[in-house]
Amino acid sequence: MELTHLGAIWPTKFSFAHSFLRTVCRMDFSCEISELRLDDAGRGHIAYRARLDGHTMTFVVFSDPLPEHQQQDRIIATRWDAWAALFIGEPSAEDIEQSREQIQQVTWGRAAPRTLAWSRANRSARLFEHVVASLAAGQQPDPRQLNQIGYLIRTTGFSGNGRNGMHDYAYLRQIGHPLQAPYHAQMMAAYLWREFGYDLALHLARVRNPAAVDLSDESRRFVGVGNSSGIGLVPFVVRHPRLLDRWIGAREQALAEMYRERFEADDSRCDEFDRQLERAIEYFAHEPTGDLDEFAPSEAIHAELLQVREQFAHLRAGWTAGASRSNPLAELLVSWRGRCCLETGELLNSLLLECHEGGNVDANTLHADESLPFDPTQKAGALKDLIETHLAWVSRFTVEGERPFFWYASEENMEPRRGSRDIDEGEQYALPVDVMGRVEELLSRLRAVPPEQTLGRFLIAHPDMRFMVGWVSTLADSHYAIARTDLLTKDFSPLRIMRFQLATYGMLKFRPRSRTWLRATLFQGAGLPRELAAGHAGDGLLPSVPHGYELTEEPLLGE
Amino acid sequence: MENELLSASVRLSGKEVPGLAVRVLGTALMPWGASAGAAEAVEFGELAGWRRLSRLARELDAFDASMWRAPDIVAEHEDHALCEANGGSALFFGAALADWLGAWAAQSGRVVVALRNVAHAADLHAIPYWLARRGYAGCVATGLGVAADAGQRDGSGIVFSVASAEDDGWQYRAAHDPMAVPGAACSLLSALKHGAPPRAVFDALLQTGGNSREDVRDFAWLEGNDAVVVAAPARSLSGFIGDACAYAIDSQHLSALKARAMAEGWPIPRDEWERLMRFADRSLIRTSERSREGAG
Repeated sequence: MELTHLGAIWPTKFSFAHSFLRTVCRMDFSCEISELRLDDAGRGHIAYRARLDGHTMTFVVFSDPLPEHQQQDRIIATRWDAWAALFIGEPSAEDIEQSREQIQQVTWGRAAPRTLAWSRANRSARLFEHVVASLAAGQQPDPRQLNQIGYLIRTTGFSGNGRNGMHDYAYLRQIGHPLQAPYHAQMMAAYLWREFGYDLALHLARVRNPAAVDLSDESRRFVGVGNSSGIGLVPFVVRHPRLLDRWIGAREQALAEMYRERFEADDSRCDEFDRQLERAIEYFAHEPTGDLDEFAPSEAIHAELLQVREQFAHLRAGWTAGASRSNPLAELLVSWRGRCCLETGELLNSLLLECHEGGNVDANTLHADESLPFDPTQKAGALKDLIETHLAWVSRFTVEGERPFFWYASEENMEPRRGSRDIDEGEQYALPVDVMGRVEELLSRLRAVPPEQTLGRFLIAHPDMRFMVGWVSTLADSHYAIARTDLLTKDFSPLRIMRFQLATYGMLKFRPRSRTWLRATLFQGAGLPRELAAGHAGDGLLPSVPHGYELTEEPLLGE
Repeated sequence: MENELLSASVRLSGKEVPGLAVRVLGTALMPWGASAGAAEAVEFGELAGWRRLSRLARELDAFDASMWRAPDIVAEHEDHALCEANGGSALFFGAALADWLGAWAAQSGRVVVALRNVAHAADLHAIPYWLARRGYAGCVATGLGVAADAGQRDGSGIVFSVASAEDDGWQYRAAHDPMAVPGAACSLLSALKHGAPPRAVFDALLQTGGNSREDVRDFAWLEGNDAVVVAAPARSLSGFIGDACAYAIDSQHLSALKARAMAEGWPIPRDEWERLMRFADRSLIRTSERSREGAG
């Protein structure tokens, strides 16, 4: 799959946040504060007890607000405003104390028993203060300011899946836990971070004024959780090809099904798509555009969506029952291919998927076996042919231009970084992300042995090629496992891969802070706990803008 | 309840056992294309009760990038071969050797490879496990290179292992006792001392019985870094179940151990964990201002 398309996608129902919400609201769910120990400055901890399908989880957030100048939005920081652990069951006092102490040690910290995930966060300095001040003054915050930022709490550095002694996904699958789908444990933590943001703001507002009002449901629903991500995300895409194949494959399969189906213009799916379009037009009418030009501006997407909706209305009105064409939605989307920017095109795909199987999703379809098996009795010549026929495109990367970069794990909390060969030392410890170069090397070595030689015999002379033999054998004919981009070249754009990955998690509001650093929001529009408990996941892919949006004209806050 | 932070052991998740091995071996400059197989050998050695991570912690200072080399195939025949490892590490090429033997056995039935001068020869004892998992039988005999008591604590003294696919799973046996080693393997190891063994001594491997005190005497003075590895079609291991092969594991038991590691974690001594982590951290790179830009 080409990077240009990957880097333009939006969340879909398959994104982990949305599959999480849609899974939770089908189950028996409750969530409450089980312990609140915060002083007047917001220092202390809050514990949330969540019950899902009979399983209890506890999310403990430790809070120690930092002065703004000490906040650092990165996993390399050594302190954050708040840090948290998600546990299976209810942790003991010792487990809570161990977590308080260990979470801030990103690489050497050891999780208490039954820990599922760790994460850290900072408050949005300006919006948080605006919300606290508004509530203390007995008012709701300005919706324009909420939209400008989109979150009260900005998370960074989620870890789980077996790191630091935590439980891994395989364990959750083994015990049949309701959070067994990939990333659902982290999504539960992120969702509860959102709750923490409201509760901390209300606590501080009531310190200022015991009669402070609570945040309205509408505002709560609109506010998400922020995320700040750097290029440390990028190697993931190369190092987890079978996950990539599964995630994109599920989406593409569902899209293909929608295009193949036959239905008429009065089908309820057309009504649903029109409703989604209307919501998207409303969203992009208000969505601020980031400072960098990496992604299409909101204004351009908004203008194109207006045209798409108009054409859709015409198309439905003129649709003839029993037409030989498959369906009006396929007709519409095909007609816009190449006529709109990539971001609009991919957004239309996301909206279309809201009409697939009623927007429902089986989160377990996103699970993938990540092993890279191969048959050692296969012949070297057959593997060579496989590369030459299925991976010929790789050579375009290895012959084109300079490859001045390598990727490494930084001594700052092991964060993956991109180093320059002429500046940074330690290339011998480069992270294993240069699969393009290794494919070429494997091909060259395979060409040097008799084609009838078994891969087993080939490997005893080339044990260092064992990973690549498995990689090629497993992935060469998969459609979506390999992002067609070279992370080592000068013109590689990390932002597009980062956006792809964040959209896969379900994030919105992609705002590059630099060419290698992106902020986004998660769970904007997600249902509140009692709404999930009642079976309502929330607004869907895009949040509804709160009422009263146009009433104020205060200068907008910066992040 | 015990405070974990004060305890003498650290609880790793099931994923961290191979993950830590990969980090350590990468820092020791093992090419990353081979590290998954090496990590699997370490994980097997840990789950099998041989405390492979402890041994890894003791080996740190002895790692040398020249160990990460493929063995030279000195002689290669229809069903047997002789390899000179030149000090190359079984951690590096062990998984590939299992690949070769498996593929070869699929074509030729029973096949034998004799190896000389292997570093980390004890890790060859993962090969029967790998072969059995793929539906074959395999056995490994290695010379005695360490004091028996030390070897019995951490698996480095295992001299013989055998495994085979069986029904829906596999069976594995291993022994520290030279009496467990088939006589034919003893003869072959002994013959290695004098160069390429004649064809006759390759025959009859993976046959039970045939040991004698004389064989053991021959065997015992061999270096610990020579080995014989056999792959064959699956067969019953009943002939290997005796006092000499006291150590046994099967697919069900290994699955149960993995499940336990997932549920409760895997304890390793804190000082060894810290030694491994400190060593692995040597591969973390000090960041230039330029590459720090945009990190998040």
